[in-house]
Amino acid sequence: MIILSLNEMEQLCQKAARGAGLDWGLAEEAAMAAVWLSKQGIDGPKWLCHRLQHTGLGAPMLPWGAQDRVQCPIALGAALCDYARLAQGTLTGSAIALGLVDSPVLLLPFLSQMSAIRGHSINMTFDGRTVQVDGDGYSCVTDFADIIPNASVSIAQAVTDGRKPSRPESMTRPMSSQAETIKALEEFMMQTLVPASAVSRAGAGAASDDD
Amino acid sequence: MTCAAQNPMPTAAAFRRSARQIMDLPRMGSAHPTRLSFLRVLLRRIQTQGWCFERAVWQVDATGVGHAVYTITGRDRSYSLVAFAHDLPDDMRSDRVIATAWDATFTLFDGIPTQADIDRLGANVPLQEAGRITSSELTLSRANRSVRLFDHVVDSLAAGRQPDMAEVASVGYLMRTTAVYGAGKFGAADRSVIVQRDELSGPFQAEMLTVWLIRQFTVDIVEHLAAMRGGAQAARLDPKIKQSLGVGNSTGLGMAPFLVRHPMLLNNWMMAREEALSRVRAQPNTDQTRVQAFHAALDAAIENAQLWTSNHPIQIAKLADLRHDLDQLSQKLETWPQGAYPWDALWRWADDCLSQEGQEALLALMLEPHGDLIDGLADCMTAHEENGFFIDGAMTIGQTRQILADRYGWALQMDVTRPENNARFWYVSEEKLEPRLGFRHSEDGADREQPLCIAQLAHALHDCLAHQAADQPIAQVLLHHPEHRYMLRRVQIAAKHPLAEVQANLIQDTMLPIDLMRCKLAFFGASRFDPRSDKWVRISLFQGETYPADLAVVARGLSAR
Repeated sequence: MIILSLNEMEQLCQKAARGAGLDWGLAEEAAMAAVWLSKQGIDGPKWLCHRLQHTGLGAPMLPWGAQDRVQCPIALGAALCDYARLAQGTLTGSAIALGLVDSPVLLLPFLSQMSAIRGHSINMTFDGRTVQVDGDGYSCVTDFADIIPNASVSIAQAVTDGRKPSRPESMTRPMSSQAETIKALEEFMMQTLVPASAVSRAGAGAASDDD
Repeated sequence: MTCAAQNPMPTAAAFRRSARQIMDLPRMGSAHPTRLSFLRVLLRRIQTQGWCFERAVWQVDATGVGHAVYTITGRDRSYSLVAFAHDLPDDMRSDRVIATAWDATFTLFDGIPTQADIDRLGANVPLQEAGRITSSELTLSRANRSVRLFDHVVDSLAAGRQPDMAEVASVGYLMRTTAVYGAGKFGAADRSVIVQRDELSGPFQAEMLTVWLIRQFTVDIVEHLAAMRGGAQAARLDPKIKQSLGVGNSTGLGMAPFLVRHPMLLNNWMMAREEALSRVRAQPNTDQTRVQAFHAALDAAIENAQLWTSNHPIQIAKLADLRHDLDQLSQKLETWPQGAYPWDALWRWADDCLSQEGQEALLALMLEPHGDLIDGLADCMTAHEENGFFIDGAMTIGQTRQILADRYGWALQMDVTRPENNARFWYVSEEKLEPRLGFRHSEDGADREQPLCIAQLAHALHDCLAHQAADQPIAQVLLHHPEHRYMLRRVQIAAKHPLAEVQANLIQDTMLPIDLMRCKLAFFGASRFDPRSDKWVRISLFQGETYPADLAVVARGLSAR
């Protein structure tokens, strides 16, 4: 196990997401999502790594659920937040089907943001379980260790009685990540780096140590 | 949300410079340290609050190998610099970030380390990037000796003599740091750990504290080696010479992208400095005390400009401008102050008569006698960047176009299709992830370009929005064009932060990365900016300031955390 600081995790995840082909703005969202999950006690980098290993995912479409391919949770989550103040982002007690979503646990950080904007909790239902998300975090009894790779997801406004449901204790230090997760993310990150060359090295730093 | 109601001097707004002027890159590259610079803020706090200092451990042998612990204690907490001194063969000494060994390595420990902590750090800190530190550490750093000065000082002191003043002045430091990593790097504590602490919440306070404590180490190690070699006849450094020594710093391109990657932070630094200038200009009159302090600051600046040398043609020209302008300013002061708003009158004169170099030096000088008016602005120089992350998808395309026109006019005016305006690209090297700048048509890697070409990204977004209905939400654009998400986030930040963007084409063929570095280093408080190429520089920190050992001895028993 390797303990990454949140800053290291964010940087690594952002570069890995970019290396895997996400646009820069979505790579930032991917890093935000991985760090948010880690703070909540979920191995965010592992789930991001899982997502990045899948290519050919569908982009989100309106109306939600119209996309018949498995969707990227980062792009879908970001789009849900973008529409949170608009008619298309209005949630009621009846569930809206979002369609098939890769690594659906990665939607939780976006639903948390959406919940904060909309001012109500959101229920996310997938794979036969329901997770309640609010602006601070999520609550459910599942440990997310065994989540299936993709699932049909639906979301709805949660009816709450005002009491905060129990949730994992928020952590100030992220979950430790397995060495293989970090290695896999680093391999994605390598796709953003330029190999060293003499031209590249020249002039970028101290050439002499004359004094 | 607005802080307008809390602004103690709303009249200052009328004296504010324009964003176009402030964020012009050559002007940013003429920045001088001011009393709002981060090392000055740190020293003011330490002195005002009466912090204590103790060299708790000094276990360094006759060859200069070993470790030391310096503990500084503020109002609420102690921090300890753990220093490891090494015997580095001359042929391994390199200031490049790609180096793997150094003369000394350091970490700033959060509290007072136990022996177990020191053992753990001893196995990791000397390895720098190849080691790991923990959330108990705030920074990681290393330094190399100035080959020219270090040995001369040790030899002189060992023989019972003081070093040659000309030699001391020509280098200005015994050791130079080549990186000071903070904010969670290599396993260190995240910024969130210290952001609630008054003493470290400002920008780069942990890093500045580290360097200040390193400065003490650089003097201690030369005196130690001289005593080991010279025995009873060895001298200690003359206090005046000691005070004239700073800590050198060698900085490459790695620092340059920072200001571009942190638009909210850049805005807040610039805004605090500009508000300070406006407040001074807005003073209807002045008094003898301030005028005298201003004269004293000018005298110090003239002396500094004489001692400040460089072999780089660009800097030589800038230094000539500076000396000439300070001379002009001296003459001007013979008939100043006169009339109402004397500081504004002086500023307007400088705007007409001085170079950018002289104007920016005057800015620093004008702030100097006005601590009571401006020092509180140091509290406004941090940024809650997470607040800028959220994109408001309900903003309309028309509103977005308007922000682009208001905030990115400087970029949209450029013809970014011209070859010279698209000549270079920023990238990250596989070598220790060092940021670098290459020429697009002669070097490999442009397909892995970093998004620092803000002017080009603004153009691309502008073009994408050109034929879309103004009343539609920007969320609709992002749904179909995720490639503009990065720039749109910046545009929404810039809407609320008018000084968030460097108003320059950062991939133009003649753009000078050292201009970005000088601006950032001036905010640190660096002096003697000495570029060695257009991409790397040497500077000095804390030159002329007090030392930790000048503080009272630490009161033991204060809680570590």
